Amino acid sequence: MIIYLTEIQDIHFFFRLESFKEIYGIIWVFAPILILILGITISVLAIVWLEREISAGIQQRIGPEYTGPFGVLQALADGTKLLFKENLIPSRGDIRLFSIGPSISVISIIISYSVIPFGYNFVLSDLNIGVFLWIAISSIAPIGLLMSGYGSNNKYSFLGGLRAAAQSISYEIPLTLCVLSISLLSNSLSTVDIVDAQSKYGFWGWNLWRQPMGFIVFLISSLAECERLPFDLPEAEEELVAGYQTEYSGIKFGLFYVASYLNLFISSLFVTVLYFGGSNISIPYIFVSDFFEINQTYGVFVTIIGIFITLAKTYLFLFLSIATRWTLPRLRIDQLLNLGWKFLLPISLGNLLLTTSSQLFSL
Amino acid sequence: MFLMVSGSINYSQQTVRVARYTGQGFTITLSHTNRLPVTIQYPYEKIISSECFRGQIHFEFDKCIACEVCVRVCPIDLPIVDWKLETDIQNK
Repeated sequence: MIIYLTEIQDIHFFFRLESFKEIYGIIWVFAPILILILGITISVLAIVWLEREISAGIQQRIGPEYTGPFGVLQALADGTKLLFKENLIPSRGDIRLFSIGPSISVISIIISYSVIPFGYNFVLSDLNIGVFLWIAISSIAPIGLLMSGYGSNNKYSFLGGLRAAAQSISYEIPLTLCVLSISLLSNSLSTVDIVDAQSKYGFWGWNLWRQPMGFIVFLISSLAECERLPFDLPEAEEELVAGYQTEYSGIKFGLFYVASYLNLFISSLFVTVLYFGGSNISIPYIFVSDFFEINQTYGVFVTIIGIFITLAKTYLFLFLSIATRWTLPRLRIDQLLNLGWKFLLPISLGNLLLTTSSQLFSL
Repeated sequence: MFLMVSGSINYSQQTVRVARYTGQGFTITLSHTNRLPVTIQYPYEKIISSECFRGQIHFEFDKCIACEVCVRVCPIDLPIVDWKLETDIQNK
């Protein structure tokens, strides 16, 4: 009897230990993902506010100022308002495509955030082909836009969807060639390896100095990918009302809005990671002793510094994108495709050939 | 050969010109960021009109009931309402 009781107690103990370990494992898998999504959401709210403020500054207006201090809660107020709007569905449109389109756009962009190194080796999943994953997934988002345009039963929405697909295909190729040049220099497609390769010589080791033409082509192509002015032909407010978004209301429209800013944010992050050294401090020689002491005492502080530096560089490019919106006029569709196929593609291809030649010489 | 070289030079000049115009646009935009906003937040702020201010007087005869509110709020301090009671046409 005593032996049986102890056996039963042992079995219960091991069972509880096993189940607790399993639950702990599941929590440990999901916690970083939730933290990343929370950070992304806060960043999107900040970008919406930033766009309002910067456009107000450029046009000599007063930006949002009533909702919260300096109007920082304006994006939350907008999101709440969109949640309470009626969800309209156009008659005789394709309801399934109409509903799935915004979801595909948002989900395909959020997956790309898993390969961003926010600090030194501070990345959700360090894939060997991280940059390639981003390029592949950014090719999926226009499928959602085309679905939305087609399912709206509206010729202007359909034109917007077609323009989105044409624009994305045209500018995906120069973008890919620029990324290929970076991977040639870094000997890897992993984002962590690319950041490490740029940290050898400090400030002058950035790929910005080794790939100046690639940097400019990448900036223009990523702006076209995000459909920002002067490349917002899929929306084209004076011509197509709102392009593929015309028939959308409420939270579905909010999803497109969020997808636009998510795309902008991740493009800025990739410019930072590929060309501006990621989380590397730009002036390491001056602060090397203080930094070394900090490195000795606090490990978390180094990670926070890395995240701060990455976001600071990223917001520089966000500012550039927002200022571009209020500076340059929109291109025509033939000018857009000419720029993509006849200007950016030859330049990026020549850049790749130059990179290949220099790599061969250095070997 | 000469035509190709000439076309390439023209293309380069066009690219440089586009880059220069873009730079000029950004200069204007970013300099505007530095200026004060022109928004006047009425009623928290009111326009302070000058002593010599001369606005255009707008009068609609059919809508006028001779209530003399415009006399009190006029920034020019000008209009004088001259009226008499017209009992037969139900109008002042």
